[in-house]
Amino acid sequence: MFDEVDEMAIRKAFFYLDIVWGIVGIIAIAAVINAFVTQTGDIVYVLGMTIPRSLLYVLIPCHLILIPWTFYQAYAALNDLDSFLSNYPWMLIIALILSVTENLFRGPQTPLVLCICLFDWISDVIGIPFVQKLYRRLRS
Amino acid sequence: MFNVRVFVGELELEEWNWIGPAPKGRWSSVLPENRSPMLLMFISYFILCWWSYINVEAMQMAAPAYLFALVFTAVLYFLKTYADMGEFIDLGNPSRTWMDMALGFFVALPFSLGALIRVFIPTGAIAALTPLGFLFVALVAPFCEELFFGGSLTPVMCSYLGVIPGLILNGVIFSIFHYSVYGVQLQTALWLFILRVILSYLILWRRSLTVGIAGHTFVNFSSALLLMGGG
Repeated sequence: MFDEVDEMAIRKAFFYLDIVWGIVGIIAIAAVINAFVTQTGDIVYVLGMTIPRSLLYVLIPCHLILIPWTFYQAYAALNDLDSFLSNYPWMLIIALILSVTENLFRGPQTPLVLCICLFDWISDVIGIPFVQKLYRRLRS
Repeated sequence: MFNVRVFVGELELEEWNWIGPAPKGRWSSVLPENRSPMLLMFISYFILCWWSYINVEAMQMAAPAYLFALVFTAVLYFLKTYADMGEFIDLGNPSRTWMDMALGFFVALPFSLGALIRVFIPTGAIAALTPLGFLFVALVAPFCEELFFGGSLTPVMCSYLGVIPGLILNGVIFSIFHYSVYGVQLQTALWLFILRVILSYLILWRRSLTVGIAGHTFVNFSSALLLMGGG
């Protein structure tokens, strides 16, 4: 199935996916920083979620790290395939641990879905077969 | 009798003496493909480390040590990459990354189980109870420690001292570091020594820091989860 997919189509798909996640991340970090500055209680309201303030200390660096990384991946998907493939597993692991940490400490709230790390690692896991195909093509 | 077979190239095996010094430079492995993830991770972990230092009270002692380790290893890495000076092992061959991660998790499993049944007490107990402290223990600490102990000290010590003395000294320094920074008990220090020796040997064998980072992350992550659950 994967062999029938065009290589450039896969790279463009990753490019657009990462661009969208990056934009969602920018929207989320703007709301999170706004909540961090304006709300002072132990519980904060951000993007429709009610979360402990201590969680903002993870959400802020999480977005600061993953947004530039995501945009770089979008650039690398089209222009620097070697870097894209080398970064891929590491971005997946970092996003996964950040996402698990946020959801562990979310309190009684529903899972944090408006979070770039959750999008990142889920789409990365789904994309593994396509990445393996790109890797084989690059090395052949 | 005292020889060990290790990878020196893609699939090339060589025999080195377990005890005597090995030729300089043969333990290092710095690949151009890994420059991008190494740079991104140096920056990312520096941000996380600095942020933890200013926001987690329990990390006031550990975070500066990790910041130092990050800067120190970054200098070593760039010296090795651009001037071919010193010894360093980076993330290894990207085509073997998933296999190295799986190997790291597999090796770390007994140590995670050890933490679960309280054979040893996990480190970073106080810090892991806050979200940022948990992130520090589960993500930042393993990476910084592996860069310093696995990526820098292991190849240097094994080059100058030989494999067995290098691994033992590395394990001893690792245990002393945890004793002085986290105040672990003697029994835990012994387990940390064993973990360090095994991970360092695997890093040398696979020419990849990925094994160490994956294994160490798994141990810390499961231990922090255990502490958070009050186990």
